[in-house]
Amino acid sequence: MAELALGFPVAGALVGSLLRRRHRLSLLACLAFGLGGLLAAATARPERASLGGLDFQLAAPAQTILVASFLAAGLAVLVAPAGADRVPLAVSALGGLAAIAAVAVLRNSVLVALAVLLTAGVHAALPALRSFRERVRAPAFGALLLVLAALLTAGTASVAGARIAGLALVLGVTAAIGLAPYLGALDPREPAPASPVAWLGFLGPTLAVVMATRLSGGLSAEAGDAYAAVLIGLGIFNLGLGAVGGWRSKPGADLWRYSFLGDWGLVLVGLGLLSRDGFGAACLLLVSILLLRLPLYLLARPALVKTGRPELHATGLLVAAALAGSAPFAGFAARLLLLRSATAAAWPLALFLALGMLSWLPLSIRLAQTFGRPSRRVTFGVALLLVINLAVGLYPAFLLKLVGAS
Amino acid sequence: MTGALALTGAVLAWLGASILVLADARRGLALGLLLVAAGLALERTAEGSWPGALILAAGGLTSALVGLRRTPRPGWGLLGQGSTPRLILCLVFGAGAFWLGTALITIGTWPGRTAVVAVVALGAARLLTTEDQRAGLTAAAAVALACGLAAGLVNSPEAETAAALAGALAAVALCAMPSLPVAAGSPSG
Repeated sequence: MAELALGFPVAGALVGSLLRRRHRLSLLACLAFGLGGLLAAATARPERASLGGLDFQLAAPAQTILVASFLAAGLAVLVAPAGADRVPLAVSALGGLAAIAAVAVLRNSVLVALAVLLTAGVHAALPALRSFRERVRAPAFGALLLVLAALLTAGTASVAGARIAGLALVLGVTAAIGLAPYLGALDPREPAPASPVAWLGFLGPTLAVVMATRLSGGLSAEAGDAYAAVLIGLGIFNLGLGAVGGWRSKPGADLWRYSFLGDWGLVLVGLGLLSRDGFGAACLLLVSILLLRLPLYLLARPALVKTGRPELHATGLLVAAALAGSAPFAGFAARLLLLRSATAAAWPLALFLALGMLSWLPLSIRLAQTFGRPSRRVTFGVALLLVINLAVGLYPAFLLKLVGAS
Repeated sequence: MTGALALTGAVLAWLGASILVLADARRGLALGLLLVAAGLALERTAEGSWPGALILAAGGLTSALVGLRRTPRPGWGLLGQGSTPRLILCLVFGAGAFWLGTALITIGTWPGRTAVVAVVALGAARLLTTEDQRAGLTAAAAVALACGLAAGLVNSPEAETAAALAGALAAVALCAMPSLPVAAGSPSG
């Protein structure tokens, strides 16, 4: 079944693209193949399978994030601005899901890097406001570092080589996602599939989980130390940069970009702590990025383009609470778990994390203001996302059990 | 004999990747990609993996032809003005790839590793520095072909053919991407 989670979105993107002139039929085909892929991803068994010499395996954490990615893609198409052509969006979403599924199910680490390279090339070749070079650089660099990491992990004769493998793995994944120091500009006028948010909020989560569960599995003990240290270092850097950048930004696309960065900082620290709680917190945050922050940004985009006066409404307060990770939303459980894990490792780290988390309380109110005066459609979308996030926040044990962190 | 064949393959792959770095027009880019594919295929042939070699060669040929049709700038575009630093880069990266392939990485045979590292490194150099979308995509296609070979080295021998197929398909897909409008992504150089 794991290979079907890859096959359905590939077929869906091709069929949807071929039928793009017949609007309704194309959307129906995308929906059918998307649902097929979701079903295949949700019911795949974790055992290894082989097809044509290639090994496929969908481990439990990657499976959970893959399913969340399918839901996020559905939400992205659902909350598209009124009057927008949904066919290119649905086809792009299925293309992205195919890339995510390839990363999640392929056991060969060089092929994972190849999938990232192909996605980087195709993504950068989509029509957008920024140049090809600007868009391809970070993800392509990430893919190339992943190739180096895979080759060195598979066989190296020296300790230095093993350490470089750990370093290349972390730097490769962060570069591919587009985190600091490879951060790109976020322009709300740019179509969502061609924007860096596609990496930050959609393709990145699965790549991070696959790095933590499968790609890092082959690292030696010496490489493991370098891997964890670089993860925590980059996590702190991203968290700090997110907070400082957020404070210096006006309510707009930049503030959203730094909010993604803040969440990713926490994710990287969670993965770098190499503990069950840290991993659980990272997975909860990744689900929160996929099912809350990304669709909320997509909902806020039309208002960001208009650059009207920031306004805060009643729903805005709830949005701010959810984005800041307040109780009872999903981010709260994640932050608690992360603080517990960091306290056990080193209390200064926990103190820094707590400061970083608290800094986002006022910033989240400014983020919620970016919606301006929300239309009925936006209010419905926001309510739907808040309900989903609330459900995960009220019962995080379900998700933690799914990813094997309870 | 097989050793000499594998070595020739590695040198050919490095030469092709170097031409990719030095070329700015469609014939040069297509020739570079063809030589990369031929070198990688020759290396696979020396190792006795005929299906993998054929797939890599076919993938390289198809993507070079597709790229030739898609690239708007005519001619060879080889060794244009200001190409001395790129020439030096090719020599340095070739030496670096030889060192990595013989001293640091241990999977597979050394000509295979050297060929993969040379193509990935030079392809990366071109992809990450060029403003030209077609040159970038052609370099990415060369890296994809090298990944097809490398994935076979990392995995079991049965996976070699499937990995080569994945690399070849990725290379064709990258070269088949439509060109962006000039303002968005394809100034030359």
